[in-house]
Amino acid sequence: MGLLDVEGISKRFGGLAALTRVDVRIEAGTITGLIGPNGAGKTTLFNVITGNARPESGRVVFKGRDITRLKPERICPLGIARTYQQSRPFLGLSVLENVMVGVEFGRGARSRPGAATAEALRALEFVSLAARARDGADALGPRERKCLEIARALASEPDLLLLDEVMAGLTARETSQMMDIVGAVRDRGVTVIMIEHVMRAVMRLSDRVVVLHHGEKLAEGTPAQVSSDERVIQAYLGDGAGDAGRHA
Amino acid sequence: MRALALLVLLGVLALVPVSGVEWAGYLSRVLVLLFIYIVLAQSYDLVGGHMGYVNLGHVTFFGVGGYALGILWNAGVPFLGALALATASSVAFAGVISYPFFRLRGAYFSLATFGLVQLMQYSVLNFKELTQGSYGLKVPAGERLLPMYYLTLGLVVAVVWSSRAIARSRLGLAMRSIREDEEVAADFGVPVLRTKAIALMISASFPGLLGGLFTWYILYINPEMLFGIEIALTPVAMAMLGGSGVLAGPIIGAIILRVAEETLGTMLLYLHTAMYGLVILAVGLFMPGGVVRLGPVARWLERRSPLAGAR
Amino acid sequence: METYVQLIVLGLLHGGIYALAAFGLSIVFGVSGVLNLAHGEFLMLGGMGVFALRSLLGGNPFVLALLVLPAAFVAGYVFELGLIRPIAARDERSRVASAVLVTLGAALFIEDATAFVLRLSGTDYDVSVPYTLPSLFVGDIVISYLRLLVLVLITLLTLALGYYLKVTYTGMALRATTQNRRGALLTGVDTGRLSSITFGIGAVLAAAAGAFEVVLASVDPSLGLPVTLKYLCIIVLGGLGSLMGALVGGAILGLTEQFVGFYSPAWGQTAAFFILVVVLLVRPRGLFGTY
Repeated sequence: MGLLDVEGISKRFGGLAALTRVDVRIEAGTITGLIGPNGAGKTTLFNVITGNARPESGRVVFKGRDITRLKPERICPLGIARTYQQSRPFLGLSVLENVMVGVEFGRGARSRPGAATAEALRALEFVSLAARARDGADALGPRERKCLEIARALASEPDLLLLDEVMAGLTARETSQMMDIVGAVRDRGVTVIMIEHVMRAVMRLSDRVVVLHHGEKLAEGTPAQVSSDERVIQAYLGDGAGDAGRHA
Repeated sequence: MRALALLVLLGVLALVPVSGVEWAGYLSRVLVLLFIYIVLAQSYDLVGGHMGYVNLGHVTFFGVGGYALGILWNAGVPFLGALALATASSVAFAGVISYPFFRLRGAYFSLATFGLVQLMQYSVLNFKELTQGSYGLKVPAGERLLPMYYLTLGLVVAVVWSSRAIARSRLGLAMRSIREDEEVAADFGVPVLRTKAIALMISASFPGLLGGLFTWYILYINPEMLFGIEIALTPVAMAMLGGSGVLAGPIIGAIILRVAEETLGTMLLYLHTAMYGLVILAVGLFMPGGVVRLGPVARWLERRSPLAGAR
Repeated sequence: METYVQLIVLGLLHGGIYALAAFGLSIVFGVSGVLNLAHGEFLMLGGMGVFALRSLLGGNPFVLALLVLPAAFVAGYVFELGLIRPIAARDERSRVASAVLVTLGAALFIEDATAFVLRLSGTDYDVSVPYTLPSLFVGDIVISYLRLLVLVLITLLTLALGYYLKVTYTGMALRATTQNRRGALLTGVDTGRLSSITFGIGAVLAAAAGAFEVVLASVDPSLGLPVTLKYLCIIVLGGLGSLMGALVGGAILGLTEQFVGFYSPAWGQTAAFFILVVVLLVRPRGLFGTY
């Protein structure tokens, strides 16, 4: 039994089958890449895990507990945090306050009053945003916003972190920096699932890769296995499999 | 420094009714009305500005408190007990309507809460045996200007202090996160519905108590006075005019509108509501952020603790 | 028995009238993203307009309505251009607060100004246009031709509307934008102009409803806001963006009002509100909602 077990999840939106009997096992301490063409159901899978979308069938088991029907606000305290494909920091709040939400209401809740701010600052230091703590979140650029989202998520002390396209739109150098951050997250003991289109990042960072296509799991394995899998190349990677720095 | 200035202001205000000056009585009456509006506007803004849910039905808490006091007191319940119960019923009312109403967002929520005001007005009219319907409710007489003045001044201090305390608390952070992005807030463990209900109940406690005091002070109430459009919308207009979501906003808005009303009220006999309409419209169109967020004003206020969400 | 049929007829009739206007509000919201609290004022003004023309010119009120409708279109168009367009571009949170302020302020202004004008001209507050047609007797049931006529006109209007939405470019653009604003923008729909046109259509529908209302019953300046609330209930009940939903929702509301109002006139007015709450609790998306 892994940290997270997705068993036979199916999700429809009206007439559209977004996910069909998807099985995924995530082992603790790993980085799993989740790839596939747009519309393959990757973000939907995240939404099912976090309770934002209700599957028609299947279950999600986290640390041995069935969390399929839980509402989102119950999920975070159990140890799952996420970022969003379109960055969603709390724009009207300061950078520090953004992270404070993670601290106060995530798993580390009920900490001593002064300690909360210190924890938030630590999370910000991790992504090198501590200097901007008092700035409004709306003053941050796209890359910094992604970092802020990661800090906010980490502040809730998750066991599992779901990253949704954190590399999108970054320069080569920024991508490397982000890859370092993701690696550091894993080194802290947080398990990561990352949705990505940037193949260089996925293949270098991931311990395992899961490929979704039209809502079904197409392939699964090590980065090497997946990138040489015929079906995957056909459906998604194209003939230049493993392009460095390829963007969505 | 700032605290000192505020204390001086409070001291001056406290002395007005007993100052023995000729127009002290008139000024006291005017100030009582101002204080009432400040309490209504400030308590409204807790949910409307800090949490981002424009509750056009806020005045129902005021009306419920007012009518509850009238009914209970006339029925023989001792005054203080009736007042406490009146406040409690406002809070309970807020708790009950939280469930259905907070399923709505944005303009839907606003319109639905506005409908609530209409509903209350009709209900009060129709439950004649209880509320005397359109004839209005009377309570035992008494000269109450002086105590009312100090009580409402006290309520102003209480509501402002509470707003500040909440803004700095964990609850305030939860409320602001809901205002910014409710779904994401939930994803990070914020107990959304519970927070909304608690916020609403807190925001209902002040107008609830105030409503009871108002009935006691004014000696006679009818549905129009407590649930009418004008008293329903004025606090909202004040909060938005001054600056919703900022501590000083509702107070500034209340002062501006009251001054305008007092001076223009004597000039214009009709078209009061039309005037309000135009003011609200202009604010919405040109300065939705309110006076407090106008360039120069905002910069001057930046030196204060940036009371969360002055954006 | 006859009373029940009578109530049903009245319920469907009033429901149909509401539904038309409610649909106008629905598409306006769908296209511009702004909930127009002043929508009911267009209904009120439509009725007032017919009354005013009747007082000046005399004649068949339905013919007079044909003069009012184009004016309503222009009014709606200009309203959107001046008041809604500036705020529709704002970010979501700001947009909601601005929308409430601007449309509510407009509603209050229109309502009070109209009352003022009525007072100046010495007219009664409650305004109606008497127009009688003979009645039809079916067994023991009396059906007035007038009501029949209105029902027919509503049906025609609805069919015309349905046709317009399905077939014309603007109509399709309208439907598309209601379902997905961003998508519409990306495919080149001029949402600005579309918004204005939609507002114009919405105003026409509301004014038509007002014309019916002033003939069948009466209209007074304070009608606007309570009626807008009813539209909201219909939209919530029927689902945003759906013509069928508006019709069904309207019918349900109209019938409920009649039946409740029969047993207790005062509570009849609050029926809409109770429906709103129940629907919200049970099925927030509404019956035919596309969201």
